[in-house]
Amino acid sequence: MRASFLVAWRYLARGGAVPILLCATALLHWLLPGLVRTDGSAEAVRELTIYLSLAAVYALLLIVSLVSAASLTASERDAKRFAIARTRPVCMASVMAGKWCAPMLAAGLALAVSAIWLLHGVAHENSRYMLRPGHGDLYAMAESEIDAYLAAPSTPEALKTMDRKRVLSHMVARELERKKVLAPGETVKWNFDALAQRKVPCTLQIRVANEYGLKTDFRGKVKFGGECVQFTNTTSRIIEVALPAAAGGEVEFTNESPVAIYYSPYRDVALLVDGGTFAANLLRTCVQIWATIGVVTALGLFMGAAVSRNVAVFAGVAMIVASLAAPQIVEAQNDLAKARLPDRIALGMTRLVAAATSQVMAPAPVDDLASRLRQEDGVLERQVAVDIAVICPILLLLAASIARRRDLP
Amino acid sequence: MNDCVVSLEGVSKTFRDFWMRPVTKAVDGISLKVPRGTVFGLLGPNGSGKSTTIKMILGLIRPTAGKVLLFGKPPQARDALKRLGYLPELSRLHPFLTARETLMYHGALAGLSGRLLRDRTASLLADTALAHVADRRVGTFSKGMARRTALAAALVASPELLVLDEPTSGLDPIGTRAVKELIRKLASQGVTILMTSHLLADSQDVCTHLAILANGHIAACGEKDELLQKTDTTRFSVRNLSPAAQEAVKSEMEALSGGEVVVDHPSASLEDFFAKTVEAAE
Repeated sequence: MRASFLVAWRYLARGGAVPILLCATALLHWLLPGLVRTDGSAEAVRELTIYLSLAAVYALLLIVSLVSAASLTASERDAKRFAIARTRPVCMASVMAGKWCAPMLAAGLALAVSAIWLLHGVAHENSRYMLRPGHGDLYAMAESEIDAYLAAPSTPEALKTMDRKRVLSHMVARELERKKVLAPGETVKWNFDALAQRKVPCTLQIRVANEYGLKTDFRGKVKFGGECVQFTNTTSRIIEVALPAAAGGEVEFTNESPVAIYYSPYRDVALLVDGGTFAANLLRTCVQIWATIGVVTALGLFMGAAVSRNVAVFAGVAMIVASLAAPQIVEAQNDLAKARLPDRIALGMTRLVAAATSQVMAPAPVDDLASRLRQEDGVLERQVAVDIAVICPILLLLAASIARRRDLP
Repeated sequence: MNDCVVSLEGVSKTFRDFWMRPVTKAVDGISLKVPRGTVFGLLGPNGSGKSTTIKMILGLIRPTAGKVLLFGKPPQARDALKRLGYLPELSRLHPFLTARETLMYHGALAGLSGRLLRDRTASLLADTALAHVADRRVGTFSKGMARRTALAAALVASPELLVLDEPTSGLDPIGTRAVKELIRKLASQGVTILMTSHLLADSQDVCTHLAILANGHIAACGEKDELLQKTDTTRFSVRNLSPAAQEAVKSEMEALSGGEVVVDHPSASLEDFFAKTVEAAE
């Protein structure tokens, strides 16, 4: 494994891939902050700078890792060098593992350059956990609604044959997006069950709008654990109210503005709790990206072992593009109840691609880091464990198996 | 059995297409034993099944029928592979590695490490006359230097069996001579060598045993001297005789044999003549 790692590393370093990757990473960090333009606060500039620079490096790493990994195995296969390795007392899977380590080291170095720049070049604040208020089971609520609707004598017979699962998912999606109205003087209560056991200072965050979406003077009070905090906000539609440490998870919000407040109870209300330093969150984000790059690298090795270099690179880039586009296509074309069969098959395949690659392609870690959010405990560990300990070994074993069959002198 | 390094018993190989229909029978029931310490030449025209046989011996493909044993074990066995060195027909080196790194890589694949690997690498670089270019990238090497590097890579783990596929292909006469000398030296050290070559003169020079394949069958197999000896002719070699002495001996021998006697001067091989001429010119 060590021997094949050294050879792969020399291939990348002497072939120019590593120097180009590191120079491009440094260049992106140097250029992008000068291009960031916002009409908002320093916070917005900071958020956009972090997002753009890390997202750009992430995209660069995806492409470079895939191409270099595919080249590593394809060049060996095309030159029929695997056959020579097979006449040595060495396991082909360990040869592949060594090859996998080389692009991973390059990606690690590029991420280290990014992390160092972000730590020293951008003002940063502590990250925060985001706790959502507890609601009832949306599916159960939707089901009871459907049952009542279907039981009603006035419901047309044709509607009773609808695809129940699809209607349920539509109802839940609609409920999640539905805006509630909080009239002047009205009070609403939210339960944050996760906070009930902790006694920590936190911040209530509400994204609000009025009827016409204009800026206005939002005022109100928040009661939490026996404490009452007044607030007023005229500059932003995101209201953040600092709350003292107190036991209990119930938050009471009263609208004292002259206008009604529009908000989604599922998307717009959250309690922010301190989630540790920016550096720790940055490290977690880099590890998450690195694990994702690991999967893409293993995929590149597998494809390079199966087909020639050019075909592997083209197919790999096409797969990345398809994976990025799939979620948008699914969202835009979700309602195909009356569509033709070919369209439905195509949408089914797109859904499959989106589901299979959601973990790899969702840029959530970068987004979260930029908006100071820390993911729930266990999410990172789970993803890294699945990527590095399950998906990568499977792909590497497949690559080794294919290399054994496809490469003969 | 213990004296056989490679043993093939009724080995056949049929290549099939995607639908598993037989396309061609490359090797048809051959049986062969390569004794320890010999230089065994596997000869034959194109398409005779030489490469397929070598691939089966190396464990790269499995026979359709029959049994292949390497040191008494299946060729894929790790113990067998540890005692094997292989030089492919084309050198297939990593062009971005130096000669030293190439040998270190192959040594590491063979399970060597640390000081043993470094010492072995240095000694092989010296033996193959590559010490002065040890830290130059293989991609910049001439064909001969690349061939020598590949040969050194095959030898790095001190194999007991060396499989050489066209070992002198692409080499100039001086390089060919050096490789043949190396083969003889290895054989004298007890290394078994199995080689294929289209250059029959080279095979004749170094091989002690020969097998000739044709259409997937063994057409001839045995010790080289036994196969090539002309038992119906006798040759004497003496220091140059005067014309009168030649005539006297000739007439005496004609009387004894009752047939025609040919008297001539033996000629040096072109390879020897070339090597001596180039050496003198340099």
